[in-house]
Amino acid sequence: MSDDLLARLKNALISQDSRLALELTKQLLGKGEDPVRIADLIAEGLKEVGDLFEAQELFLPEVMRAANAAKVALNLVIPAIESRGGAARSSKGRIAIGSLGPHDIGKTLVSAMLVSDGFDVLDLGTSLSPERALNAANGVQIIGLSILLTSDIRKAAEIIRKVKDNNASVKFMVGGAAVNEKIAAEIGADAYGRDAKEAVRIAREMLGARMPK
Amino acid sequence: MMKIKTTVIGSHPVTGSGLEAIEVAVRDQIGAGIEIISDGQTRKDMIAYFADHIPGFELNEGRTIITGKISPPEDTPLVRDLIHAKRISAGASEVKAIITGPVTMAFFSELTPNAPYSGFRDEKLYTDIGEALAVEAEIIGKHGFTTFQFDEPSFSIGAPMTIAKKALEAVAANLKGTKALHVCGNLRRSFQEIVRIEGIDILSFAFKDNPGNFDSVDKKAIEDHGKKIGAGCVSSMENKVEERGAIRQLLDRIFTTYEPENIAWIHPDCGLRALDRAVAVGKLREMVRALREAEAKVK
Repeated sequence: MSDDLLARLKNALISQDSRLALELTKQLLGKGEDPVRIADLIAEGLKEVGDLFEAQELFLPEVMRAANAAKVALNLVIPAIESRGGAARSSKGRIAIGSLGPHDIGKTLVSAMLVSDGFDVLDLGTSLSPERALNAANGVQIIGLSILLTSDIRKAAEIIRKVKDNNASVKFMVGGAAVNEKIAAEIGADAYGRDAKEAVRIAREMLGARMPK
Repeated sequence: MMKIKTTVIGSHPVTGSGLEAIEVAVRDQIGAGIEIISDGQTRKDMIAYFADHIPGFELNEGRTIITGKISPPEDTPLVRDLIHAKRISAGASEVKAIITGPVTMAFFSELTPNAPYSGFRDEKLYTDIGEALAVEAEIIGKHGFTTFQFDEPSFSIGAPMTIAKKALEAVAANLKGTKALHVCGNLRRSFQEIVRIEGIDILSFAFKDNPGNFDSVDKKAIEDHGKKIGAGCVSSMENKVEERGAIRQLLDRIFTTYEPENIAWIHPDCGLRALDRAVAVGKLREMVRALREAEAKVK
């Protein structure tokens, strides 16, 4: 029964159905399913979504909707894991992530993938200001910036400069349609990630987190 | 040799607000020697520009949301900006109307369950946006504007191209004048479908920050489909004016690869809003000078 629900939850993510994902997650938790198992399945579902995007079988807004469905489910699953004292799932590190522009394409997916991979993620939302980034910087090891519009590149550079001036130990990873490796280096970022999977890999490397077997 | 015109893709660094910002953008472009200018797109981002008055869209805390059936607007505030730009230009340059394409309007919006569309694969979503934009363009055309550019950056990130082609063709179908399609980014996935879109005269692509496009953009396909190229030759990301020699070098490669007869426009790779104003103007000025030097060499 539980396996059937898990399979349906994974399909709900792939078909970008937030309502169904929420309902199935509630049912799974209600039946006493291990929240770590649910989180792992969500990560599996998101990986499949990423693969479908790479294969051009999903479009970017569909990926975003799938990521939103994952977030809705994780909003129930993560507290359930934490309420067990975090023994089952220790955090790989703390990351804050925000979007420079009004749109959060990419950020939502990266955020959900990071959470699924075992990082504590502080979502800084959209239209990120230097002040909000500065406030967040003291509690995290990495800040991720999603830069979709070229008009936001300078603001990203300003955020990176101000945060690093204040707290040099914070590392920045950036991604999004407006940037590439070269731009990332120019604005002072420590790393550029082409997609959500790469963001997870970078975060692991930055924090020396153990790769999964 | 056909005269190659200099133009911009759209946005300009914002100085001031409202009509004043448009005036600054227009004067900057004319001062740099640009022949086909924009109004600077100084008011809003490329989605909100249209979503703020097309029924079916709503703006909420900076997000664009599709909440109902998308239908044509009765009027467009764009006309006011374009007329202002034309007045400031006083005939020194032509003013181009820039319209965000149906797929990009959809992709950068949130689709709510209340909207009568089943998802981002629902053809009706793009048809409805296309019909709304067709009316938008028609209103602009009635005010005497004859050069149009549709922006579809979403084409380079994966888009439903069969549906996109139909929607864009519907927007362009009854429009009189020169019609261009701008797609920034890497065209590896989409060029072969983009070049088949009917009713579009000029295909505008980025070559400076996407040199891989030399491999994707096929000269024969351009000629076979009766298109001309708009070639991006200065960066819209790097906040530094390129050396004229470097722009010349890129132009030489563009001319050698595609032949000058197939080039209608040269322009920056994308909008310049993110740059310092002095840098943006410097890039435009050097681009214009580099083209004139390159043309003189070809002659």
